[in-house]
Amino acid sequence: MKKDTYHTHLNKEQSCFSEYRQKAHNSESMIFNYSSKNIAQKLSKLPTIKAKPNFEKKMAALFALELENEIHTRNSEWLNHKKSIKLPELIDLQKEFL
Amino acid sequence: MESSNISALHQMSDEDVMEQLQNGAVQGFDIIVHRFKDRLHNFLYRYTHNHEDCEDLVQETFLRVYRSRHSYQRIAKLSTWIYTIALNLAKTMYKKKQRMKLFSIHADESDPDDREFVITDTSILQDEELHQKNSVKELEKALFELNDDFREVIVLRDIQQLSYEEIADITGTAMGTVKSRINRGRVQLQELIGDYVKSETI
Repeated sequence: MKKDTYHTHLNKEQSCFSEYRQKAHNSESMIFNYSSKNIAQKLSKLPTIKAKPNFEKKMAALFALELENEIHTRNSEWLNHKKSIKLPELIDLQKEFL
Repeated sequence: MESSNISALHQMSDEDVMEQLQNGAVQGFDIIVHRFKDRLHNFLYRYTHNHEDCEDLVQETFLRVYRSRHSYQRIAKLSTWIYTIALNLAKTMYKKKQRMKLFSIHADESDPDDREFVITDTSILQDEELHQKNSVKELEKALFELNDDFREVIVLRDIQQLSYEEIADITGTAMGTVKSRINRGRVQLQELIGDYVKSETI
């Protein structure tokens, strides 16, 4: 009888302990999830950093240069393939006019 | 290009504009710049924490987008592709910077006459406003102190609000890795800022 009471008591304690451990784990997970969500919310509220007002103008100028370079490169490559085409020599202004 | 075609370009999706650019419609480039400049600025500033570097990187990103336009395919969203280019450029820049040696130009401690100037902030802020300003600064500082791998995913997820799939594509990592890094990054951030940032101030 006493042994049965002991075992019952032991089982009850183990079951309470398991329940307690589960609650502690849930509570830790909740804290973790809360911290994680909390920091995510804080980050989403940081001020947005936008481009300066003249950025698009600056970019348009850079793009124009890029296009010019592209055309120049394409023309050079084309000329390299056409050996029969000879460009006139550059005039030495100092020699010609001075 | 006719004005009617240009206005049609403005109505198109990002991917359609890119296709037009690939076909030679250079006006598409201005539209892409207009649509993405703020997003890229925000992302690259949060990654680099430096305005000059950020602007240089944004400009270089757009130029690379143009130069590599023919390598873009519609498998991914245009935004994903652009973010990938931006992130790779930022990482390359920071690898180069780490290799450079830095020398301090601060006051020479051995010379008692050579002192650093302390500039007093004369703007008077209410306590709560000051606390809020400092809280944002602390969070920004902590974000920059994070490990690079954590910072990039945190910025893409919590600031740029991208999906896990997009982040996985941009960073070239598995989705599980992305989620794990985000969680670990958030925990690290929370540890870095501690109790300084009150939940109600931001």
